[in-house]
Amino acid sequence: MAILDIRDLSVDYLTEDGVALHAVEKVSFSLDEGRSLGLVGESGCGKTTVMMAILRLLPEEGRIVSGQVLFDGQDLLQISEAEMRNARWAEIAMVFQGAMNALNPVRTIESQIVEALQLHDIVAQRRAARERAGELLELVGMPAGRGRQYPHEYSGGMRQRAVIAMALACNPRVLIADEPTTALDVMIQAQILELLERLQSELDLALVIVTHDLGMVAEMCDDVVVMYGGVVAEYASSDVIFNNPQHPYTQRLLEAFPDVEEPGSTLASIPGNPPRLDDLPPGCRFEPRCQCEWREAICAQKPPPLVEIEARHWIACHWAARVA
Amino acid sequence: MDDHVMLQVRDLCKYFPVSRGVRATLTRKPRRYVHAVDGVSFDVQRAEILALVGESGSGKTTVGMNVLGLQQPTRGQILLGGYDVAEWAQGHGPSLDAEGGELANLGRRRRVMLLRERAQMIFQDPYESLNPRQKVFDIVVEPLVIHRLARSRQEKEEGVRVALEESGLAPADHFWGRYPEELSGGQRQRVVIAGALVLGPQLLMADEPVSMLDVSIRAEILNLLHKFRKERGITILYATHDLATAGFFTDRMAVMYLGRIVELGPTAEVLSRPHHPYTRALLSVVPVPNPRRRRPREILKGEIPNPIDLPPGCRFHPRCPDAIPECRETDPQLRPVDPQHQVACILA
Repeated sequence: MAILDIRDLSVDYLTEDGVALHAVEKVSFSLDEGRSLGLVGESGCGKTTVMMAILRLLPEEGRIVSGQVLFDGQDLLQISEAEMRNARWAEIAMVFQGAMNALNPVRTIESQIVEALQLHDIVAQRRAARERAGELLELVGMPAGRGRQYPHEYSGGMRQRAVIAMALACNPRVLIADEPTTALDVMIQAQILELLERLQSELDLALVIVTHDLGMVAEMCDDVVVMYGGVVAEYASSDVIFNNPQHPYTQRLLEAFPDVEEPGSTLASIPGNPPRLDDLPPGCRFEPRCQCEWREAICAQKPPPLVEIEARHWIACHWAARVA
Repeated sequence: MDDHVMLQVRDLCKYFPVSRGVRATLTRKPRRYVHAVDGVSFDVQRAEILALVGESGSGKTTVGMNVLGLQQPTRGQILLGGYDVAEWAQGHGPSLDAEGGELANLGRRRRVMLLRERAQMIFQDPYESLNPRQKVFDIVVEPLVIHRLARSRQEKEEGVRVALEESGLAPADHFWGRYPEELSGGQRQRVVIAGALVLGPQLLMADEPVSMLDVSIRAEILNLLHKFRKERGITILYATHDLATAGFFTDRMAVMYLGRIVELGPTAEVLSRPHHPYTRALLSVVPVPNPRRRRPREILKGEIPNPIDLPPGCRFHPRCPDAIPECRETDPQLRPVDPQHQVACILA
């Protein structure tokens, strides 16, 4: 059964002039216990906004306009702020993008983990909290003693491990990782991937990876949501997304991703830029960049609905929906 | 000298002194050095694209800095079109003064400017390498003004127009009145490239030029560099940690580890038949965009050691899955495994 079920989630950002920008519109997907889901898209496609909305951590200008965020059947958008504060971290934890660079430089890693433990009343006594911090560090593959060091004594990969340890402090059931390997070296990226895979199976975590890196998603996610311009373009299992993609955007994105096993092959690009929020096309949001030969008038006029063209394969494209 | 060779790097070493504390200075402890680049040699042909592949700390950027004359090598020599770059950057030296050379009769300042006109750099992050208060036109025209390659308004506009349009920002006057913040990441990187291109360089050092860009735009930028090679015969050094993009558009590949080249050869061959265990490991962790082809990863433990206290013998042996006792003693040199393909490993 789905531990996290997002239904028709829409988020607006209000500009200073009071104009509402539709950053995310009608996003739906669900995540089963112990499974992993990749949320992929280019910068500005709304993937981080979706995650922030799930945790109710949107910046002040952000408004959840509609939709449901069902965690274990309960709508997180309906509970009080106090209840939400309990759910956050204890049930759903997040590794924020760039968090490894946001550690407090003048406090030891251990004391920063202890702080999280005490704030959430996981462990009351300081000594027990310290022990738990050590365990957490060992869980992410570091010697417990390194907790007494400061962030500047850590390499990038180790800081990322520490941040993951912090996210796990309260035994969450869902872990959201926003670009967890960006800015890390390839070998360190692989180490972090292995760590996430191991944690997922050992702790039976449900994992959401938010990334622009298709390779990472192919390596470790069961399902994939491809977002474009604030909407879901395609949603299916990784096997379908990578081997039988139906949305023109997904297809082009895959062609643009270099495959080291086929060096010398040509690499396509998608001409143009993603739409700006203050200038969204009236029809399909990908239409201005779409080079699909079946493009027709309706593509530029009406946004395509998300339809299930086969079991567990959703797509928002006028043409693909009709063919299927 | 062979006319087809654009760049020759001979035993390049670049050490940076580590600052000592008061006590170390007083007790006259020997000064310690970061061995950023430690004995690197390679040639690059005209119009060739060479990938310098390695993790951060492997020395690829330092090689580029020295090639452009932005740093002075500690030891070794770099010849660009036959002239020693270090002497060139200083404006004088025997290789420049040699009879018959085109540089012999130029003034010091003019010589240095000529070096900049020959070799240019494309920086990694177009969000940080452009002045936010300058318009695109002013950014791209600046080198022309400094180098006095354009004087009249018309000449300047023509130079900027060609550079922008060749870099894919057409029509140029649609873009040149804008500020960087009005442009997308890919467009900004094109402005950076136009700024490097405007002087008509023969060599471009591109340091991770696409790592900050979205996947859908990366190919455009790489295809652009490819076009410069084809149409203008520009030689390109492409520094990256991404084997996948390197595999797609470079001719040869130099894999670097801790200041050394550990494997050097034609890109397709290095990727299909890697000989060095480090190359093999790097290759095994590159994500493949298909879940049906998930492979076992050969993950190296730990990280690149610090380049101050280098491991004895082979620098890679502490992390090497295949290391034998001899690796601790012998420092392997690059040697050919095929006529074109060299590897620094005693087991290869």
